[in-house]
Amino acid sequence: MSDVNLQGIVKRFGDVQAVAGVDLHISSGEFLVVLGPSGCGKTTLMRTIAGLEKPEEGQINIGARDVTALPPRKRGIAMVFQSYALYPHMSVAGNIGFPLKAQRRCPDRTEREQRVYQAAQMVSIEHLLDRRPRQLSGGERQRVAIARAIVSQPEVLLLDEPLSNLDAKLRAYARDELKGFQRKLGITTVFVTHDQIEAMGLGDRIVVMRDGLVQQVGPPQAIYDRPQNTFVATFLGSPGMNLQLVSERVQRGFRPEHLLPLEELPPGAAHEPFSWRVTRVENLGSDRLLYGHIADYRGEMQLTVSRLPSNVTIDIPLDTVCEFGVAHDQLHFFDVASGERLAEGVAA
Amino acid sequence: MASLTAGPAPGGGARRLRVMRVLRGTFYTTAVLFFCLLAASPFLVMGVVTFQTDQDLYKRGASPFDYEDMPTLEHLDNLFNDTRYLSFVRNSTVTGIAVVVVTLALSLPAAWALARLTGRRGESMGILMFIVYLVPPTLLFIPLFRIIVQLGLRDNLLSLILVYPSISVPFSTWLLMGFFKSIPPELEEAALVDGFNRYEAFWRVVLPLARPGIISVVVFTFTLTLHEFIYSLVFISASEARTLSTGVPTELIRGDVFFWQPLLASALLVAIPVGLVYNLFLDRLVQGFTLGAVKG
Repeated sequence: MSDVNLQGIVKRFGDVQAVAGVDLHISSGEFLVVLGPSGCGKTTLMRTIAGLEKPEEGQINIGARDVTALPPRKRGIAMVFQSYALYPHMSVAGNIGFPLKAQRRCPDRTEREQRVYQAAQMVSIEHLLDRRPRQLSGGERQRVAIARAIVSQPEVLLLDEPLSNLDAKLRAYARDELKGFQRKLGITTVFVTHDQIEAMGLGDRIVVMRDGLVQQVGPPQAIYDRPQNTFVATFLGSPGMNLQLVSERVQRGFRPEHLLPLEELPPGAAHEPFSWRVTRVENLGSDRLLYGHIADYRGEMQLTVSRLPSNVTIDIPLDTVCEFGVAHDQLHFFDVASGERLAEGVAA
Repeated sequence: MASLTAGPAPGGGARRLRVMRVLRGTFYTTAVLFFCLLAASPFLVMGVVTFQTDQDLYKRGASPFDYEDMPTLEHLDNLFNDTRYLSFVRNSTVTGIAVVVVTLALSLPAAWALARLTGRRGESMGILMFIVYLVPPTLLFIPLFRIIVQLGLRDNLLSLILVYPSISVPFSTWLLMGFFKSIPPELEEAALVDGFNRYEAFWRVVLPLARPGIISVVVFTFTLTLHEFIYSLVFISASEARTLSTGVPTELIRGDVFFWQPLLASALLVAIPVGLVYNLFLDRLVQGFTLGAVKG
């Protein structure tokens, strides 16, 4: 268990800058999620920590050691690949025991077998030890990959979208389990994903990346509640934040769930009124999504979404002007040119 | 509802279906047997003729399967005791094994590098190497002969061990490249993370998965050294240094006299063990080995 410190990491592939100067500190035992759209450099960043890519600039420390120039095997890390990368010519036991053999840290055979069994038990696959990877389901393969990663008791565990090959139902279950292992073992964990639900649900902190740069770092709720720029605001949340020009220089944002019928707003709260025409309703069971257009300061119509929880049963007639509002403390303001969040005072 | 589901047609239809199935089965079995027999017939004739006396063999109008005299071991005795057959077998085996080792030693790392480390360029270089393979030995044997003479390797098996890889390495590299490409690079990376260095990862993970390719290379290379004729004929003229492909024809065909029985026996004796060994690896050759390596 160690902390990880990244300083000014730059990684280029030809002319493309995949990671464009990242500084990051991951505390010991923390579960850090790196979130971003595909091609944002999150996987490259993780591979750089693993030692599978050499950064052009910057320094990586794991614990007190500078590991920038060290090969993967000397970094004290373990990694679960998106494809799991199980060795098809070995049994499950062979796969899990492979790091112990490779690192020659456990020369005694019975002890090795015991540790393999313990790791398998941890992820409840001890009955599969004699099988080959091709005889396993997706969920079982993922567990084997995790058992292989934890068997050597690494200082840092790296997970590259390990849940993306599971079906949606299994994924929720696997998420819960994964968080459970991590808590139990207390390993410093870096988890890369493009799925914001995974990120919100798993991370102690989230790092949002775009074009090789860190956009924002913080606990999931803080990032959701106070996005640092319009990219984070629209990337997180489903659907993302509504944005609206209020002047040439200022954009106003509010989350769909905060755009509510006036009757639903907290009584007495100061609010910004919106009159809009709902043109379409999507009923998602737990929520209702209302789609319509609201004019910006130039009079141009912008697509706006409101999300009503199922306990709001009020009837919304289509194509009729309805009175909605957003509580003042739920409004966010951003600079139009840079997209950066404006301090509350400036916006008002 | 029952009428909607496909089931056996009642009465005559069912019988017709059964008859069709039996007919189809018989047809396939006959066809397979026919081709097996066709492929095996040269070996059958070889085996039969080996033990025939000259009178039986040269009798006009008789089939090779007619035995009037008792089968004889005279020709085998002749082959082993009056010719240098055993030394040809030994020379061929030594050359074969040495060429296989050299070929693997050169083509495995080359193919791995071309498949992994140079990206797109690797592919075009692989194709270039394959083109080299297409240059026929009939064009090369004269210049190569001069080189061999200058190296002082005439009548030496080393000449063949040196020259045969020029045919086997390009082909094997190209073949192995395909196998290495089918092995996901993440497997190698996983081995690197798990604690091996790049060479150990190659040895422990990549090589076992490329086994079908390696076996193909061994089979191809060994067969090549067994049947290659021109280089062997040109580089080696001393009888005791000859390999099977040139030794047998020069000793057992004298002028226009063919010593058929020992000639066919010599071919059969080599073909049987080689055929058996190849058959042992047959399922390795066709096995889809990387199944289940990645998501599925």
